[in-house]
Amino acid sequence: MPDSPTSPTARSGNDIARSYNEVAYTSFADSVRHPDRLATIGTLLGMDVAPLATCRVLEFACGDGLNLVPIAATLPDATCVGFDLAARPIATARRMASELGLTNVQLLELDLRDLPADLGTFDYIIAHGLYSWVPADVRALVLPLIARHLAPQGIAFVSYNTLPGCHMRRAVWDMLKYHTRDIIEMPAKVASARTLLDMVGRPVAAETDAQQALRAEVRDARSGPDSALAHDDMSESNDPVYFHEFMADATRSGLDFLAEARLSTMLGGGLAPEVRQALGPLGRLTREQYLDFVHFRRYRESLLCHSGVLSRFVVQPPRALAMHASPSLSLRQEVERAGRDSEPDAGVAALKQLLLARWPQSVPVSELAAWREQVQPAAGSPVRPIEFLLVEMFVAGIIDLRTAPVSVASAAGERPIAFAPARWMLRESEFATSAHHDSYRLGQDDRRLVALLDGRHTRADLVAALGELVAGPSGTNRLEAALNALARLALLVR
Amino acid sequence: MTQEKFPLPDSPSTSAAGTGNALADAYNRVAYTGQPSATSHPYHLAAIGMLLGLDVPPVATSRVLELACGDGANLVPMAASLPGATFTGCDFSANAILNARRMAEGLGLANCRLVERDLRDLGDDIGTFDYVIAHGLYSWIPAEVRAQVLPLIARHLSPNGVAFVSYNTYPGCHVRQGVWDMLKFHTRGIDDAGARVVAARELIDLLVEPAPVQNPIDEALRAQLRAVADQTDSTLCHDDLGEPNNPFYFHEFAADASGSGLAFLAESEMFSMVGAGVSPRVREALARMDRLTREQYLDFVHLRRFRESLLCHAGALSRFVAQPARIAGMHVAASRVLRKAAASGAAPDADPQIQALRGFVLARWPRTVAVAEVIAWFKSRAKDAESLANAGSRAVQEVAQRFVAGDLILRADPALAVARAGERPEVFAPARWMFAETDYGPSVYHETVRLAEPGDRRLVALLDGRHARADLIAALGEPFAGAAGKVRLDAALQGLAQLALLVA
Repeated sequence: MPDSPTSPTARSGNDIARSYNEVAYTSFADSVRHPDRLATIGTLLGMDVAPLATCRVLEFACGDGLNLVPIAATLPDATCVGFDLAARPIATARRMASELGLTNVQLLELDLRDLPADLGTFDYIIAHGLYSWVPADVRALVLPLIARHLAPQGIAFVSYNTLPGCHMRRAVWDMLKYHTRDIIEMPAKVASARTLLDMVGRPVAAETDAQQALRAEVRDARSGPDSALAHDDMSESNDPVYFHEFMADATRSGLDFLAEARLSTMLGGGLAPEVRQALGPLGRLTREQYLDFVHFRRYRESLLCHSGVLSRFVVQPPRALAMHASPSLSLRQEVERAGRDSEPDAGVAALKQLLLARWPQSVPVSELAAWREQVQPAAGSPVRPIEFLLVEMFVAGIIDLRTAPVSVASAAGERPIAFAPARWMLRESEFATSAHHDSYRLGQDDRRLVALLDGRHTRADLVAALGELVAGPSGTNRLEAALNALARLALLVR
Repeated sequence: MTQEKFPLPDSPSTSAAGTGNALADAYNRVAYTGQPSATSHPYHLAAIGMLLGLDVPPVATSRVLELACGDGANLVPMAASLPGATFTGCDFSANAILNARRMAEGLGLANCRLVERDLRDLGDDIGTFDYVIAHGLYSWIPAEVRAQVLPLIARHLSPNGVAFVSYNTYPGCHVRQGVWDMLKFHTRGIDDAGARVVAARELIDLLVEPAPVQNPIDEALRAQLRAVADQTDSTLCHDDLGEPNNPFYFHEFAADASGSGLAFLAESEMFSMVGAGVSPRVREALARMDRLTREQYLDFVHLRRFRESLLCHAGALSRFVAQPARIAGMHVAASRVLRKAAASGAAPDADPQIQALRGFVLARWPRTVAVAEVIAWFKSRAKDAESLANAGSRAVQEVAQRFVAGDLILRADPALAVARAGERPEVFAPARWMFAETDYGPSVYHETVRLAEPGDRRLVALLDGRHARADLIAALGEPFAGAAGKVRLDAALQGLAQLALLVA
């Protein structure tokens, strides 16, 4: 499929493209945007999703490809297509894909209004950072286009800013827009915006609660990088929507709400019992709206499927039996911070321990079921089936469930190999995507080490190449510790 | 004065069967209880106009129009205090106008005409007015009606007249907007205004319960919900559930004004224009801006949510600079802010001259002090010939500065308030009328005064200038019996005098 020429389309589209060319917007990977997460949720809710290994993935507004290209790298037999309006990010994405030797990813410089109808259908479609950041006429096309290109059992991921939470930030957006209205070049706009934020970030005497909150919002915007300021806070279009408005659009487009990509947000955790009680009798979609009210939500990551694909939206735990489990990023971070897990339930604690011990590998649920039967006390209270427990922990965000295992090394081999997309990224930035599709920021020394982990260097080569970093008697230990740390981040594949 | 002829028949009242106007029905169903607003009083509008160089019409004989006057709680007390001026109030709610008329008739006012009328139906024949008040209107009506408000004001404002327009503003209102949206969604299927209020309170009850938020800043929304929950049904219904409710940026309002042939004169609370409490760096940046841009950026800096802007005809003034000499013939009194600060023992101002002036007017409260008297007082304090020569201009300058800073009330005429209850004490008539029904009423200075104690309101009811102290004690009975009772009565009367509720 040939790229569309870089001819000017509608003016607004062109202006967006220019602003993204002037100040690069760095995309990044998140396991919540990996097709495997979409497949897991769809499967648990009863869909017959396409097998991950050979699936077709489409990413709208893929930017510099930092989400899509690592996906393509982990799924060599899948077909990945990404497009973006801005030429420069697409050139970066293409460079990454070609330098990684990937032949399963196509990257197109394309206005979504020009998306060819014959592009085919896709099992997983990702539209991150698009829906509420484009002009209304473009936004009106997003969900219909997703519906057009979504396979019958396909799942789409759409992120968008939501109200009521975004009202706070909107005050900042309005002021920035007014203050920079006559400036055309984005870098100058950003500089001018910083002047305003400095001014408005300073408190006045005797502030009310509301003033303090807005003031905090201004300071929050000021603390962000230029790229966030340029494209999130000063996006020419930035129109948060209520969930019910988003759903009206989805319904019109023939799509239905499958779930929120972060399932835990649908639970109403932390709510007072009377609130939970009041939300209980509400319909599925109405409850989602009122949850947003209760949480003053400002951002959503919603999964959509074709209308009519499912008649009920109920989790079916037995479907987890063929999956694979691993500790979630938040569990790992919490245990690392606290030094230990504070789980009161002994059975759950043992399960967490096992998963943490096996990390970065995932563990087949079938194996966990067998293990449970072994450790299960002979007598005593009846134990919940493992798949119910695991699904509960997945929904709560404690563990990740996957439909397919990840290829990752638990420890550095003789000639260690870093996850190729991570090695590529760390050449140019301090951010890296792991084999589990999480993003991490690494220091200078780690970046130097990862650069050498191409499978051609032994430990002795590494010591020689790294010089003073690993010199001296404890140098070898330091190297092992560093390699081990990379393995714990799922950054090594051998 | 001669009663003017008002060629204004009411539009036929259809309130019983519903007006066909949903907004009017909502106001008929749940009354919007108005309050006296000192910042909208013609005396205040005139003082600002005068200070800035506008040759404003004398308040005492002026013509005043209030759009959306509601139940007359703002307009009728004005009319009572200015018998030589004429007042017209219009509102599209029949119930509100009935209440306003009842008050005007109860007070025997002949200078106050109240009409049930949609502002779109106000004909050109009503003439021009020196002071036009539009309080709680601009942001709370449909766009097509709003588009007519400033042109209507321009049409009916006399050449040197001053208009008062209040409206909700961004960016501050974004915080409240989150609450408004949720209440609107929750009550969207409910037609009856009373039932909407009930449903809204149900939702608020749920939302004030703590819950995790994506960003800690959003907890401020919960604080807003609590603030909304504390409001009366009337405010909840018309301010928070009010549809429409459109805040504006100042620059949008200023564009509408200039498109209508009006110019921004000043903010009714002038101290908001001086950037009080703002850090020196920000103040410096603001100082470099032109007048209207500075107002907009002040709203950014203060994250402002509400404005009371004064307008005059475009071209009525070429510069908007305070001219203190113009207020030499006026009168001042201690503002509520100054009185509160003094009562709470606030630290004295570093400038002894400011402190002395404050003390001077505070000692005279609730009476006014002629600016001429302040000038004489400055002269009496002059230590040498040079300062004596400058005393007059220094005095008016100081008074003007204190007025702008919010320390002083400035008005063309002395106030009727008395410092001590006379033989047969009398409460300002509109206050007596309102206190018979509610716990708030207007002071002589048109400030809203609250009397929470029913005992105080029972006393006020008797203070019509016909009862001597002995009559009062006899009528009020037990609490004022005996020697201690007489002391208590004197204290209560003194309290009313300090609220500027007693007249000679």
